[in-house]
Parts: sequence; structure tokens; C-alpha cells
Amino acid sequence: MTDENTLMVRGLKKTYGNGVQALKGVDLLIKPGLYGLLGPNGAGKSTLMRTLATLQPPDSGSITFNGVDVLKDPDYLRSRLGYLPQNIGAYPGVSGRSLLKRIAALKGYTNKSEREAEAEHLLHRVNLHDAADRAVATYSGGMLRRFGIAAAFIGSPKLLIVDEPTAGLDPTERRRFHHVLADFAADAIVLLSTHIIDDVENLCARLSILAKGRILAEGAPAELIAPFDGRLWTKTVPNESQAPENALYETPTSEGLRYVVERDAAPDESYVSHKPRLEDVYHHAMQRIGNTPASSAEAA
Amino acid sequence: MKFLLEQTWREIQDQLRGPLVPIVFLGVAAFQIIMLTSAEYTQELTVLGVPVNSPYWVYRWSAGQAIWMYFVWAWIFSRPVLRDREAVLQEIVLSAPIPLNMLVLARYLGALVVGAFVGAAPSLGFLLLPVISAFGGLSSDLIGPTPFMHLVWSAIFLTTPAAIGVGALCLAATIRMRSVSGAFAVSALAALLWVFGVSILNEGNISPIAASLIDASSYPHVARVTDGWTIQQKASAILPLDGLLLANRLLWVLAPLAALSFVLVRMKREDLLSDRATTSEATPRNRTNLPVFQPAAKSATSWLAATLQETCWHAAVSLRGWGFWLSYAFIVIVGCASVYMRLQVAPDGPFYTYAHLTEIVIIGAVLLFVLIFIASFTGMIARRDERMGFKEIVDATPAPLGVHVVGKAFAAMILTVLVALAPMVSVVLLSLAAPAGLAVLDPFIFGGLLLAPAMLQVCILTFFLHCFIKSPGTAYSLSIIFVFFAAINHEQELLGHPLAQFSIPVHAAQSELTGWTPWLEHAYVGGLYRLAIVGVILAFAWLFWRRGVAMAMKERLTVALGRVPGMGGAIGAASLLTMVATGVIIHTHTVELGDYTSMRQDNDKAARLEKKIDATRGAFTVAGGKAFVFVDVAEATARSVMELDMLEAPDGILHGDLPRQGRILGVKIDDSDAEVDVIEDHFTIDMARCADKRCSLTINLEIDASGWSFEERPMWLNKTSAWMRASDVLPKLGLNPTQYLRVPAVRRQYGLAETPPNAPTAALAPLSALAPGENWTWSVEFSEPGETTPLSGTIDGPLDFAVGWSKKAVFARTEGDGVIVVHGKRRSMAAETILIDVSDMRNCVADILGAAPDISTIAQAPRFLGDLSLHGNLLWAPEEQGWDVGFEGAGRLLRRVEIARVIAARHLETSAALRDEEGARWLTSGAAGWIALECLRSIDGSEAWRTVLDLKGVDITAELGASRVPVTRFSQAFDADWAKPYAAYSTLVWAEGAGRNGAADVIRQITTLVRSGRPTPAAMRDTMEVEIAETLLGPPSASSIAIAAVKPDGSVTLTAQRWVWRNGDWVEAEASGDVLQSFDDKNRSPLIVNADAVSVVAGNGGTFTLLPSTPAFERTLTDNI
Repeated sequence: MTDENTLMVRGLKKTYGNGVQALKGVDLLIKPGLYGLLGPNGAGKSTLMRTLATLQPPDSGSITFNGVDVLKDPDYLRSRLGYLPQNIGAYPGVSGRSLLKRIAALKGYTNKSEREAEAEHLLHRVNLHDAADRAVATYSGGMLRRFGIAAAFIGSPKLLIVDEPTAGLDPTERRRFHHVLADFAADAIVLLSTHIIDDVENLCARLSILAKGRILAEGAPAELIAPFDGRLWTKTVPNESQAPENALYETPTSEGLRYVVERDAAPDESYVSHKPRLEDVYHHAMQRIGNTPASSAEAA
Repeated sequence: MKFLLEQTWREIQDQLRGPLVPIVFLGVAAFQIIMLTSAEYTQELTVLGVPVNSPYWVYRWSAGQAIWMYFVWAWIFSRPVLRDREAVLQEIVLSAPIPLNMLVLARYLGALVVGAFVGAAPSLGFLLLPVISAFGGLSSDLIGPTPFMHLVWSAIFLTTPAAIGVGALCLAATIRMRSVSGAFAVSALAALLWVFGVSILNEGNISPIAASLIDASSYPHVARVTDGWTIQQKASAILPLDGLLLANRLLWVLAPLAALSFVLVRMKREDLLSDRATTSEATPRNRTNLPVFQPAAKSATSWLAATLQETCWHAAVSLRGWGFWLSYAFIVIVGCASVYMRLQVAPDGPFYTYAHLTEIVIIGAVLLFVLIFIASFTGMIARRDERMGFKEIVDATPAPLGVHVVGKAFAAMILTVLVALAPMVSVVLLSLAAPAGLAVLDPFIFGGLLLAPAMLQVCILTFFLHCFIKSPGTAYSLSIIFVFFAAINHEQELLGHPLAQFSIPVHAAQSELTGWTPWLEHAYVGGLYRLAIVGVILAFAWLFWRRGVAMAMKERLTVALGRVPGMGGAIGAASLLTMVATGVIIHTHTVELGDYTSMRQDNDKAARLEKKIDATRGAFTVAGGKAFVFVDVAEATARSVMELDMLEAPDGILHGDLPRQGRILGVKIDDSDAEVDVIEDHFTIDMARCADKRCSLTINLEIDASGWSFEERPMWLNKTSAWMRASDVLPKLGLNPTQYLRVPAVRRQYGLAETPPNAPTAALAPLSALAPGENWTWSVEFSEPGETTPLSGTIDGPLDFAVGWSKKAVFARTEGDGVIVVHGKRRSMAAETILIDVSDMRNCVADILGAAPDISTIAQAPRFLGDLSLHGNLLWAPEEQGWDVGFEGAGRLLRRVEIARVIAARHLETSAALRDEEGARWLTSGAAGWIALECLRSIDGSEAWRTVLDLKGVDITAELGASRVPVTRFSQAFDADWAKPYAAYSTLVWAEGAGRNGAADVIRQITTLVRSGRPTPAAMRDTMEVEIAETLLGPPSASSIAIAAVKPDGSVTLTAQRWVWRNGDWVEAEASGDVLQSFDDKNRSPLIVNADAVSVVAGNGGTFTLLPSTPAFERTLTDNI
């Protein structure tokens, strides 16, 4: 496989020292565009992303990027990688501009003028230019997030791994960031891990649902949704009433709890048809592996 | 109460999670066992009967380890406040309906339990010692009974109160500052007080009360008390809970608890919330018309440039912080203050703040702070990226591992060099006050060439610990343990071998006349050796660098092995090769050719020598002769010839000792080759053919002077100057009684007889000269021209001379009364005062003894090169002995006394044709010491006399406690440190009773008898009361006389006690109650009065001093006046 900007993962396994099997044989083939990674807490998403970002070695399996074995030559991937971890804390004693320029140097911008130009470009792009000379430790959560995004974008990476990138951003910034990601994904892989199913549904050309270290579903959102067309039914019952059997999930409403079930036909006349969405696919996948029905609020 | 107990218990459980507690215990135990079983000082005490687990060590360890335990406590006592915040649980916890004060109090109590437990970590080492011994790791002779009682005592009265106090302050500071930096600021301050108490107040003998109170651990008090203990006390005594110790404990418990109570009462919930109040969203939120910037093009990457940028970035970030410069200024100020206290306020001062002196003094005072500072910022740099998410961002960049490792390590090293120069900034500032004015270059050579490489070792080891250990608390704790070890090692030389001098600079002490020349080769190679070790450790940091998220140790080892073939391994290999190469050079020049020997080597050599030589015969006399020395400066060698005339050796053999690195080229007796047997540095010449006649003897020697000095004392020859005493280049004839092993346990260990051989007096070497006789000529020639002191001369007494030579024009000369002073150009004023001192004291000695040796030259010798001494007509005055003191004050008085003693000693030694027999040193230390004190009193007055006596009393007590050889009788003490001041003091007591003229007459009679062949002890018994002679030559005696009260009628009440040293302890002796009343009025004779007869003392008018009535030294003279 030597396709330009293709990430291929085969049989990736990782077990931690405490016995937790985080990855149990993950296979992925990702091409340029936005690729979503959905999964509950503890699914192995962060392990997978850190492994792909060369931050920890797998026990077995292979990762190739453009046909190059990343496990043998991690620097090949690092020189094409942008990585935004899930959480970013305060960094004391340093201005945003200074820290960004340092990260640029570590990404190979050793020419001073080029480094400064790249930093200025990104500071504008993430709307931090006016705060660039302030200490990073004084940044709010949203500003820290934007700073992380700028750091990840340094050098126009060919593989961008972003873990919960919009957490902490207000709706305006979130929308703005979605545009940036979409633009970026034109000729690069953007691997997006998130709990916000709507983001994946709206942004990602393809996605995987990961749970208990395995890929449960993989494909384009429409492909994953299509099998549920005409098979989902919903019903709202008072809070104290008994839940329907095998409900996919429940959603609290002002009238009580609204349940979604999967059936060939409506169980009874109290059920109404429910238009399938990616969230239903997600909950269906969770149910398959034995996860108890969760509220949609939890899933989100 | 239930809530309090529950929360306390929960805090204890939380504190005990994690590796900190076991690491502290194991670290302390390992350090303790290494020190107690390997340090030479410990071993010396052990053979005297002080086991390695004796109360002496228990108390010193329990209190002394607080210096770094403060930092462990800072971490422990910050947890109660910061734990919730770090887990982002503070809002949940603080919003719960719980009494906040009770919660924090409970957590403090829980932390206190753990803090006190951790503070008792030294107990583990003491408890493990018997186990180690049981497995053969330590001789059972070295271990005493397990000191359970002393460990419990220490825990109750030393460790726990310190934990209560420092813990309360740390917690209060954490609450106020809302971060761990508050607690660490408290611990740094506590450490400062610890060092100030020990290094300044204690060592400078400035204020025992202040020293006892100043530190939370009470270590300065414990150290002072236990240092004064006798051997017996060190082995078994309980530390007395005296008023000062009790006051310290109460002060450091009650005051911090009051401070914590105050903070707890005023504390609000918001005090414990996050300190992110400064964060804000200050950027435009809806800008739509942003300027368009295009991504920058990227040219080819230079990872070398990236490394440089990473280095500069980290260094700049640290240098921009106020914390760095505050700490830097702190070191500079502490350095200046400590020098001021040690040199200006010290009782044996004042001294001028010459850079050559202050750069030595200042290191001892600020080293610990420098080390802590280095460990702190190195840890911060190593862990700077360990902020949530940032390390992952940085680790995922394509920069090779070396950019990360080397970039951060070099940044830390740059700052380390800057910090190593901080004490030198103090030296430069202080030099402004010295007569010679500003000195800039020398201090920075000292800091950069000597101190910096050693500090870089501390830096890189700390760096490695942070690379290797994931837990910051554990890494910081271990680095502080190491810092403590490094500081102790610096003071105590735990690792004594030249190649084991980790974190210790090359020993050097610059002098005005030599500059750095004697040290340069050693400094260059030693610096390179230290940097090579830095390279090796850097390579390990590279191999074990944690790139990415945490991995198990097995994975990390695999990764590290995988990195060995890379650049990290190459750096390690190159550094290792450099280390080995430079190590071989250092070993050759300091161990094989230089002056380094370990205590074991010394003992082995002395034992071998005693077994092989026949010390029962070897009597000899010689009329005089010639000595010639040729020094080849370029080759660093010397050749010498000693020609002895009219040599008589009735036993048929002649003993002698070679100078260091001396080799006999040939021996001729009456122009015929003679047999010579050399064992170690000792030689025996077959003189059978001269058994019944007088012969001439010629000894040819070659001396290799290419070795390096391991100590601050320079070698006698370097590339640009020579400071040579005859003993450096010529043999010393006769048997040397000081070379024998004198510790019974060590003698048994080597299978030697219980006591050293007692050679006949006539076989012994002269006391300080090289050969007896009265008619010597000598000359010295150097291969290169230069400035010199006189290079030839004649001597009317025993053979001894000294010369100075300098290739560079560095000598200044001051002349007065026919005496020439050769000195450095900065010390012209000192030269004038020394001329006055020599003139005053020589005249006085001549007045008392009837004659005194001529002195034609006074030479300023390099610092630490021997003692103030008279070699022929040249007064040898090392720079630290007389050239640094001020024109007025106790320091100058001590110099005057020592000059007088040296002059009197040389006269008595020559007059008595003294050999180094038992008791002979009473003449040169006791009689000469009294004459010197008497001269001081007669010229400078009684006040000056009492000042010096008081200092000597303190000195004797300390030296007796610290003696590394069993203290038995003065006559057998030879060159023990306590013997000289004790003999002077006890002889003074006798002479006060005998009167100045009477005492001088007795001394002259003894001299005459000894010259006629009578042993000194017998001569003393012949001329003074037998009991007095026995007391002067016997075990040391001490007295404590005090004026208890002055009654309204002017009479006084006295207390008087007397002790004699027996079996390593002071034993109270039956006192007669008599004291000697010595009046300042020279016309009034001293009186013997009874302590009970107060009316006799009262109403005499005028100032008087009470002294013991029989020879002894008075412990504290200040209450006798």
C-alpha cells in the first residue's frame, strides 16, 4: 500500500501492565478526509490515538502511513503529524507566541523567519493573535484549546489526530473550528475522536465505533444508518413506568422518558416511527456488546 | 471527633500511597549505611570505641537529616490542600457540608503522622546495621547494642517536634499561596537556618544560644553538644534535654502551631479553590475579517539548530522568571553575610576579605543552597513540559530524541554554570573591602574551572533522576537526598579517593604568590574527568528518556537498549573513554606520584614498616655537614646531596626517612659505597664500619616532583615557583615516633604489640629539623633564573632551611631591623605588621630565655603549605596563617602568640639538641607556648592575654572531643591537635605559680639537662615538683572555676571543679578547692586561695583572673574574671 496519505492499521493490540486490554486487534484503513472515532469512555480511543501518534508502542500489529512502517520509523509519521490531546493544562511562565515558536522549532522550523511566520499565521488562524504575548498560564480553557489546535496545525500536517477538539469551546468557536477542520481535511487525514455524535455525523466522511478495544462498526454515516431505516420506533412513558424490553436507549423529556427500540414493526400503537440517526447506530452497537441501555444524554 | 479521626486516618492512607515513603526510608538507610561504614571519620571513631550505631551518631543523624527532610515534609504537608485540586475535585470536596477547619486540621494530623514516621527514617539504617553485620557485611566489633532507647528519644524530642513545626508552617504557607511553592519556600528557609546555624554560628563560635535556637531540627545544638562529648559519652550518653534544647523545641512547636491556627481560623473555602483567577477570555470572540496569513514555507531542517533553540528557549524561560534571580540574589547575599560573620565577627578574626580567602570560606557556607538551587531548577526544566497534554504535543513532534534531551540538559547546565558563579559574585563584591581592592578574574576562574564541573555533575544526576523516575515527588526527594549526600561528602569526604570525588571540585587554594599555577593541570584534567562523567550520565538520561506516555519498566529497558546504538550510546561511549583516560592520569598524578593516601593505605604502610624495621637501635650523632639541592624546574625533579661530618653510629645502623617521592641514588661512607635498605619511605644504612669511629656519610637523592596535590595544600614545586622546605628534598635522619599506629584496636588488627616500640632517644629523629648537629651549610640551585629568598646559608643548630623561588616577578620586599619580608604585592601593609610582631616577640623571648634565634627573612608561603615555622633563619609564614588577619583583633593576637611560640620553640629545641622522644614536645609546645602567652600579656596586656586563653580553652575542648587517636598522656600525644594548646595552657598554670623568672629558670635547667642526655620527663622531674611534672606530662586535666556571686561587701563566692581524662572520658577529680588568683597588676604576685575562703578573694581591688592551682586548662575563662 503506497497510496498518498493513507493510514493503515492492522491487528493493533495493547495490554497495559495492570492487565487492561485496551486494544484487542484494531483494523483501520483511513484516507484523506475527516474520519470520526466514536466510543464510550474506556473504549480504547485514547490508547488508539496515542499509539497512532507514536506516543506508545503497541504489543502487536502494524501501522503504516503511505506504506511506511510507522513502528519502525516513527519519525516519518511525526514529521507529518499534528496531534491535539484531549486535555491541555496551563503552561507557566511562557507566552503563547514563545511556546508556539518553540513547538514550531521542534517540528523542524529551524529557520527563524519561517518559524515566526508560521507562528503568526496560526495565531491568527485560531484567533489568539491578540493574546499571543500573554502567559499561557493565564489562558482560559477555550484559549488553551485554541492554542493546542494551533500547535497541532504547525507545518500543515498530513495526519491530524484530534482528541475531543471542541471540548471547552463556545458554539461560535466550535463552528469556526469545524470549518477549519473541514478545510484542512481536503488533502490530509483528520482523525477526530469525540463523544459528540452530531459532530461526527455532520463532519466525517467515515467513522468507526470503538468499544472494549474492538471496532464495532466502520463506514460512512449514511451507510451505517441505512440498515435502520424503518426499524426504529419511539415511545414516551411516565418516569415511573416500566421500560420497554430491549430499548436501545432512553431520553429524558418533560413528559417522561422517551425510549427508542429496534423492531421490524411498531410493537404497539403507542410507538411512532423514529428516523434513524448516527446516535441510534452508536447505541445499537453498544447494545450488541452488552452495554446496558444508556440515556442519550450520557452518550452525548 | 469521629469526623476528625476518620479524616486523619484517610489522610494517612492517602499519604502512604505512592513510592515516596519507601523511597525515603530506603534512600536514607542506604546513604546512612554507606556513610557509617565507609567514611574515614566514622571508622576512626569506631576504633576509638564509638560504634557506628552509637548514641552520638543516632542523635546527629536524627537531627542532621532534617536539612533535606524539610523538603520531604514540604511535599507531605502540601498534600492536604493540593491533592483535591490536582484531582480537580476541590469544588466537590469544598462544596460538601463539612467543617473546613476540622477537615484541614484532620489532614494536618494525618500528614503529621506520616511526616513524623518518615522523619524517623534514619532508624531503619541503625536497625539494619546488625543485620548487615550478621551477613558478614560489617565487623561485629564495629557495632554496639541496638540503640532503641536513643532512637525513641530522638523520635520524641528531635524528629517529631520538627515535623510538627515545619509541617504546620508548610501547610499554612500552602493555604496562603495556594501552591506547593509556599511549602517549598518554607522548607528552603528552614534549610537556610540550618546551614546558618551550623556553618556560621557554630563553626564560627559566634553565638551558642542563637545557634541552639535558630533551627527547627535543633541540629546546630545537637552537633555542638555531641562534638564536645568524650569518647565514652559518644558511645553511651543520652542527649541532655537542657534548657536550650527545651527552648528550641518549645519555640519550634508552639510558634508554628500558632501560625497555623491563625491561618485556619481565617481560612475560607475560596482560599482552597484553584488559583486560576488570572485567566480570562480576552480575545475577540467573533472576528470575521481576519487578515489572511499563508502557512509559512519550510526550508531544510537543521536539528542541531533546533537543539540550540531548545537550549536557549529553556534557559531563557528560566532566566525570565523572578524566582531564578531571587534565588541567585539570595545566594549572593547569604555568601556575603556568611563571610562577614565568619571573617569579621568570628572570635579568631577579623580577617580581610581577600578573594583567595573568601572563595574558600564562601563555598562551605553556600554550597548547600547552590546544590538545592541546581536540583530545583534542573528538575523544573526536566519536567517543564509535564503539563496536561503538552508533553504529548512535544513528544509527537518530529524532533529527534537528542533535541529534547540535550536541549533541556544543556539549558540546565548553562544555568548551573551561572549558579556556580553566584558565590564568586559575593567574592568579587567582598574583595572591594580588602586592602588590595577589586579582584574579578580569580574568583571566576575558581567558579568556572573548579566549582562548575562539580556542580554540573549534580545537575546532570538530578536531570537523570527526573528522566528516569516518572513520579515528580519521588524524583525531587531523591535528588534532595543526593544533594544532602553531596554536601556532606564535600564536608566529610565520605568518598575520599580522587576518582570518587563526585560533586566535589578539584581541591585547590589559590595563593597570591603562586596564582593558579600549582592547580592548573589537575584542574584541567579533573574538570575534563568530571565533564566526562556528566557525559556518561547524560547518555543514560538519553537512553531512559520517557518519550510518549508511561511505559512499564520492562518496556523502557527494551527501548533503552534499542537506543544504545544511536547517538545517546555514542555519547556514552565517548564519555566513558574520556573518563577512563582522564581517570588514569588523575590516578597516576595524585595517587602514584601525588600525595593522596587513604587511611587504610597509611595504616598498612605504618604496620609494614613497624614489623620490618629494627627500632630498638640506631643511635647516632653528627657534628654537622653540607646540603646541596639542584631543582630542575622543567623536569619537575630535584637532586639533593646530604653530607654528614663526624657521624657516630655506635649501633652500626642509621635510620632515616625519605622525602615524598624521593629515591636514593647512592650512599657513601668515607667515599665508599654503602649498603642501604629501603622499606616504604624509610631507609636503614649499614654503618657497621663506623660503629667505633666517626665517619663521613654522603646520601644522594632524586626527587620526583611531578605529582599533583590532592588537597588544598600545593606541592612544593610547580612550573613557575617553588616553595621548598628542606624536608621536601632531603632525608630526615633517625627514627620517627609519629609514624607508628597508636590506636590499640588498629594495632591488634595488624597483629602489632600493644604499644609502639620505644626507641632509645639517641636513635630518634630531631623534633622538627632533619639532622642534629650545629654546623651546617646549605645551598640550593634552580635550573631557571627567578626571584628568590636566600639560596644558601649556614646554621648553628640542627639542619633545616627553606627557600622560595619564582620565575615571575611577583615578590615584594619590605625591610626593617635587618629583616627582609618577602611577600605578595597586595600584602605590603600586612608585611609591616608582621615585622613588628616578629620584632616584639623575638625581643620578648630573648628577654625570658636569655637568647633567641636570628631571623633574617620572613617569607609569605602559599596557603596551607605547612605551619608557621622557623627554618634556619627564615620564618615560613603560610598565607592563611597571619597574612589575612586584620591589624587589630584576636586574629592578630593569635598570630603574635604563634610567632613567639615558634621562636621560643626553635631556641629550646636547639639548646636542648632535642630529639622527638616522649615528653620532648613539652618544651616546644608547653614551655614555648607559655613563653608566647607571657610575651603577649607583657606587651599587649592582660585583656589580650585572656582573649587568647579563652579561645584556647574552647579549642582544647573541641580538639579533645574530636581526637582521632585515643587520648592518653600528653607525653605520648606527639603531634595530636589537642596537645599543643593544652600544653601551653597547663604550663601557664604552673608558670603562674612559679613566677615568670622562676619558670624561665626551670625551663633553662631542663634544656641543659636534656642536652646532656637526660630524657625530658626525667629532666622535668629533676627540676620541678614530681607531681607537677607528672601532671604536665600526664593525661589532660580540665577545670571549671566560676565566680558564682558577688556579695554586697565585695567578696565573692566561687565554684571550682576539676576533671582528668581517663579511658576516653572526663572523670571528676578530687579538687583541693584551691584556685590561683592572677592579678593584672604586674607588681602583685599571684595568690593561691581556697574557693571557700571568699574573704581572701574579696577586696583586693584591681582586675584578676582565677586559674586552676595545678596544671590544667580552664574550660571557660569568661566567668573567672
